[in-house]
Amino acid sequence: MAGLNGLINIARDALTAQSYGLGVAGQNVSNANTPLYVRREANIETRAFSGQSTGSVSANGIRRAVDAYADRRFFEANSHSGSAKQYDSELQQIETLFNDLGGTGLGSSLDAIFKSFQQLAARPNDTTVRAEVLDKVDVFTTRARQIGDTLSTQMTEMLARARDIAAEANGRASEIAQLNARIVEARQSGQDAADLIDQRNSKLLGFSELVDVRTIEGADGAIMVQSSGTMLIEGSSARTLSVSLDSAGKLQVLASRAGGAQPETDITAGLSGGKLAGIKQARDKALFDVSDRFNKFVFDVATAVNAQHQQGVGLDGSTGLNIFDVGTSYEGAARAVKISEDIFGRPQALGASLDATNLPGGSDNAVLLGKLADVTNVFGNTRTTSQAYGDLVGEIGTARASAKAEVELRGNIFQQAQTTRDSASGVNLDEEMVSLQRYQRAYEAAGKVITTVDGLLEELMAKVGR
Amino acid sequence: MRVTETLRFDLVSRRLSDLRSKYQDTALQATTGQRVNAPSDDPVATAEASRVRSSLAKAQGNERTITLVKGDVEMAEASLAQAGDVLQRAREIAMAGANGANGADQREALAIEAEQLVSQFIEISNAKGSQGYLFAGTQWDQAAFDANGNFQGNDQQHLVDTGAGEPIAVNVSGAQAFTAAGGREIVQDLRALVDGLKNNSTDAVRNTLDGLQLSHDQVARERSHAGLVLNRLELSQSILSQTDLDLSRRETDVVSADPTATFSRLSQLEGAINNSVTVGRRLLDIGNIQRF
Repeated sequence: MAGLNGLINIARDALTAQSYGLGVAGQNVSNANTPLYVRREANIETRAFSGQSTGSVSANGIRRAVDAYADRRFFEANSHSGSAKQYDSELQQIETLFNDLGGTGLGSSLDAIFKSFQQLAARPNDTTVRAEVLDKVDVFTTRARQIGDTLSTQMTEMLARARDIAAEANGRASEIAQLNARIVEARQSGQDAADLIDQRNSKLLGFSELVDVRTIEGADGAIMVQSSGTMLIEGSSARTLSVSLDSAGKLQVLASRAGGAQPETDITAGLSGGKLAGIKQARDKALFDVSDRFNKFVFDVATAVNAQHQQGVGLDGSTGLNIFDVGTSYEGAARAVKISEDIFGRPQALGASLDATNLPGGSDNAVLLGKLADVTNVFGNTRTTSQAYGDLVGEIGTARASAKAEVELRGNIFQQAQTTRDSASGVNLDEEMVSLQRYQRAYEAAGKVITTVDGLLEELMAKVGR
Repeated sequence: MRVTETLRFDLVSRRLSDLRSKYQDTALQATTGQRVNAPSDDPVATAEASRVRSSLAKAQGNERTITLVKGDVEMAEASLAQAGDVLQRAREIAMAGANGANGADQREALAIEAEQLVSQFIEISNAKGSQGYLFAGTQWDQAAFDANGNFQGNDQQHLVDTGAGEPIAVNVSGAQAFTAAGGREIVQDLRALVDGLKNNSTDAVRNTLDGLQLSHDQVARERSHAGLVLNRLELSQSILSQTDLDLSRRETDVVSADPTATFSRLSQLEGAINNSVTVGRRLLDIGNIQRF
């Protein structure tokens, strides 16, 4: 058991330890709203000099209240959420192009063409009606080209966005690698590196939103980050991502080491999370599919109308003319389609009659043109124009609805992961207030010990000196 | 579970954000009157609405077609009625001319009237509609009969789609109504009457009676045909009008929002937002540092 002098030393250690605890609680309070801050706990333990108990206390650094599993789930959930959000955002733009309910679709302009053919049958020699047919054809082709152009632009913009995302991921990866190095260095020199680890987590959160991540923490404090089955960050080095197009025009994501000493690794097939995966799915699956279907739709409609119109004879005697210029292949049809040069500005050339001898009142071909709306001439002669367009819009709507549901699902999973992580590592002000009071009381008590011992010593001195 | 500061604030803000988002969606439905405002709101309804709108456009096109052609059929029918009157008068003249009690002077006077009837008949046969000559078949740009009473048109049909399956012919055939293609060359019958009267020949005039009767019947037959076409157009118009109504109702059923339900939902959400704000305020106030 310590004597009075020893007691003063114990009280001094207690003051130091409790003030350290106060400092840690204060730090927690200060960072209550700091994103990804991990609550610290002061490691306060008895000081052991030898086998004999001294009752002294010491503060041996801090402990981070971290749950490694919750952290991993959190970053993975963020990757999936990022992917779902990006995919949905891209699909939203596609959906807007086909939103007839919002007045931006193609359906009404297609219906208007067939309606104008009906009017042409009723008034085959009326110049105004003929001009109206050409006008409706022009409106349809203009709108089809606008949609085709926008789909094509989106294709290019998505490539640019994928490259931006890769560049951003490279920046984050480089920062994480640098922080890895600083953490290892700090640990080796006996420091806790807690602030650096929090910073790295913050960078990792941003990184996980861009690409899928799996993290493994090494004994030295550095983390290894795996993405798409490939190690992207290892210690202080990070691979660089680049995005290019493969021979089919689809996105290809390559990972290469600094200096390019080793061959690039194609990680495209393994992309499973993050914005990069979302954009790839939206571009190479949804957008390709929609563009392909839309091109076929426009090509089939234009080809069917052309084939029927070629049978007709115009008021000027012309025959065998096309209404649409659409080329010979469906590829790129939407961007290429336009009103045919044969009839542009020539309403008299519209072939409403099948027989030249029936001019100008012959209307049989106009009737057949109008009835094309009811003929299965689209998508391999399996669907009528309205059925085909309805299918196309329905498919886009279904894809977007699934994407929205996925965003909600992934968002909920992320929130759960965030809640779990935050529950383990976040700051609870109630707890910190209690801790502050606890350390304050202990500090005051240690001070009281010193005052008491001091009083005893003073009294002892007075008695001894008498 | 440990409830941290971040969790408490996130809970309040997330709940409010969810409610605001739902409120926004419902407000959009209330202002547009549509339950479906984008394909993803209800893909099946969107596809269905797209098809319904196409059917609606087609039905409206058919209705418009009928409106455009009906006037000409009515005019043709009225012209045939006039032609029938002319032929009726011609028969009366023929009967008077065939009457032996009437003298040459009277036949000469009747001949003048009969000649006027020929002109009148040709004029009626060359009646013009909105698109051109009504009885020239499909050759609307030239008169059905020239000044000499020779038919210049054809016997072709003006076909339109009224939505009733096969297209129907909406022109009245001048060839069938007035020429040998329909049985009698009516202008020739009328001219035979004029010639008989001019020649003061009761036999010749009497011989025209049967021809004029057949001519009259021929015109009446075509007038009846025009009436049938008109009936058919009116019936189609009536059906299309109902179809139009049904399709519009169908479209409304598919994409429109129920106003009562929408406004009720808006009220519910407003209440939920207010409650959420109140609860949120209390929840956040629990952590008031002053109490320590």
